[in-house]
Amino acid sequence: MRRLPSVIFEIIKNRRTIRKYKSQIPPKESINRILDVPYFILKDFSIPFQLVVIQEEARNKAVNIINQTYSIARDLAVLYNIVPDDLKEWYKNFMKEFVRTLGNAPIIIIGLTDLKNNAEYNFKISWIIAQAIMIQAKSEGLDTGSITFSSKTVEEELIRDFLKMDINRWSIAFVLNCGYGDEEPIVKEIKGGIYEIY
Amino acid sequence: MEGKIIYELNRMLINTSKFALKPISREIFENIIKAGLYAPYGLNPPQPWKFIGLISNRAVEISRKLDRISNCLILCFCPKVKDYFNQLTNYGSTFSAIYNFRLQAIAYGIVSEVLVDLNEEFKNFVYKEFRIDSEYELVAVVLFGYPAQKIEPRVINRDVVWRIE
Repeated sequence: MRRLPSVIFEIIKNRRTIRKYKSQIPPKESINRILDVPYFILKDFSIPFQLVVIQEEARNKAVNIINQTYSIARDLAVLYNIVPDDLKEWYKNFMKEFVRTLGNAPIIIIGLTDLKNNAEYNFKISWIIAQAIMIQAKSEGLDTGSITFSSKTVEEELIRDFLKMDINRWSIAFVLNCGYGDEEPIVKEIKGGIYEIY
Repeated sequence: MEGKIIYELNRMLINTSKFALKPISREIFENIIKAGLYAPYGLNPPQPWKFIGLISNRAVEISRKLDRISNCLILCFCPKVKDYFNQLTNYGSTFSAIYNFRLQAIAYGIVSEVLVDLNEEFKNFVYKEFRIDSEYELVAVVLFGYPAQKIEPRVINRDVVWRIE
């Protein structure tokens, strides 16, 4: 049996951003554990925070709001540069499909915080939470991927019209897909030399 | 199976400010740092962080300036960029790495504390002491150590909104 530190390292190492999902719904037991994790972190880092889980028809409505902005393809467009030439055409279609469907994950998890007051601190802690969700999901045999976009109009529509929440109080810190992955992601190289020990 | 293991470790991720001064080996410390490097990041710019790990006397000396005594810590830096969205993205990546450090550490039975609100005097000392490029900002210090007392796993109340239709 592998030692615990090795098990944890492998889970962390094998987590990849996934952008295409199967329709299979994850077990409720796994989802419950994933959704508990943010609240362990909030015990130490008290920030305004709300978690919203979206499924089924509500998910489709949210996707139709988010995919109004092409900024969701930002990370994919950057990755395009490292895609081998013979895969570029396939990748273009993959990008288009993602922009249209946001990957078809059966679950979308939205983390909201206050980015009008103490924005940097709240955002930093929100991303500790996001990573905790992604690692817990990976350990449950599930995949995740962040949907990043930078459109104020879309964000406001999502918060005010779809989530029925106060746009003066809440901003989106992260949007995560969650489900069983249906792709082999492009592996990014981890370069050395970016840490030192004294 | 692994889900339950990680869940229990998450319950043990408690900010702890008192550590037993039992040494942490360099090998274990390197593994903790390497776990952080697998946090998600956009490719532009690549790996938007810089980490300096301190062990033994050097760590004790620096941690004393934070009113702590720890023989192992990581100084976490993030590049300053003009675009606000990119700046937040860089913070997001760096703090994801911080979560990985702590999770990997607790798997070794090592507890930790994250300090985010650092005073300017301490930051300026660090920039000078470690000759940090002015493009970088010290965003957090993570202190590590073996627990000085027994850690009780957390119990929480969840507050999640579900939207299905």
